[in-house]
Amino acid sequence: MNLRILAVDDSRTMRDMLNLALNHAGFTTHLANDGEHGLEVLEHMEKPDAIITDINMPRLDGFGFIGAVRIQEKYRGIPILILTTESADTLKTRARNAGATGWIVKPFDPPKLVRALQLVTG
Amino acid sequence: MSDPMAEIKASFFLECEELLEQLQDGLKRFEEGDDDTETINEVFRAVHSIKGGAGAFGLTALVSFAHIFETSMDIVRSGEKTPTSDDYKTFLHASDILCDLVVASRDETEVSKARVDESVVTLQAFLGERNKSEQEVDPLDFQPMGVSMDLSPIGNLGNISPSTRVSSAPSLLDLTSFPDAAADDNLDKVSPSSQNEGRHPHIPRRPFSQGRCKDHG
Repeated sequence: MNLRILAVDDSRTMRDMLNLALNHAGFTTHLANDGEHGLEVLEHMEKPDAIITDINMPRLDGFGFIGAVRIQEKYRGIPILILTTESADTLKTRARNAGATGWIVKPFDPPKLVRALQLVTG
Repeated sequence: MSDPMAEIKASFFLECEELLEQLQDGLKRFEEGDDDTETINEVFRAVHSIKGGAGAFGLTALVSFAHIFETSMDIVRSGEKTPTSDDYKTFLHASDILCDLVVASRDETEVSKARVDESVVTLQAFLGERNKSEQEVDPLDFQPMGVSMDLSPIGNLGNISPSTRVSSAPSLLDLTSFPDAAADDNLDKVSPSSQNEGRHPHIPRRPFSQGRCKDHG
């Protein structure tokens, strides 16, 4: 299954790791370094099968990014996974209310991330 | 043939240099009266990113210290506490320790435990009540764990076992871990934890070895 994934994270290291893990699984990745950049990349790419985003980012954080994606009709059905070191229930509630599909705590295990993406994309 | 994970790890340490500079510059501006919320957010994100990358490479000493430092910065950015001049000294000293831990992680050496503990004690004093609740949470407890997933929002996902809902977020899937996928040995090879964490002689040592880690103490 060749999925098209948009991954948004302000950490260069994390973007590199996601790119490596997802490409290794045969996925096509598009990367962005914060929420605003993520919206720009999203606008110019073919509709992704899923989106992965961090929370704490400059300019536009993960919650703002998800909200901006979800208000666009064409993106409402895309699974959006939050990938973060945080795990507080209050944040998960914010994530749910913003429109996130799932939550993965860093550090991620590549095969399990791939599996998670395969499952949420059906 | 190059090792992609080794290259990413080398890149991580280079990224740490930038983040540490961002951290220390931000702390100084904040101490000097810069009350722009983005300044403290930058400081928080710097520590947060170092912690995240360190966790990915299993750098436990760095993760542990970064966690308590990050929590301190979270208290400041949330407005729970306004730092005193002594608190700024604590933070600047902590940034030095963080730098030393980054260098030690890169070079596979160690930082004096007494020195690290001294900084931890001062950070814990700043955390106060929040420190008690933080101690109940293992800062390293963000490893991939067993499946905890609520299936109901998107229906049957095959042979994944259902589990309890994520409390307070019933329609959010907690996908931190899964049962082991069908065997694919090649995927395991990109796992950071499976990589040899050897030295990386091509990492330029210049910035850290030439006194990059300042002594604010």
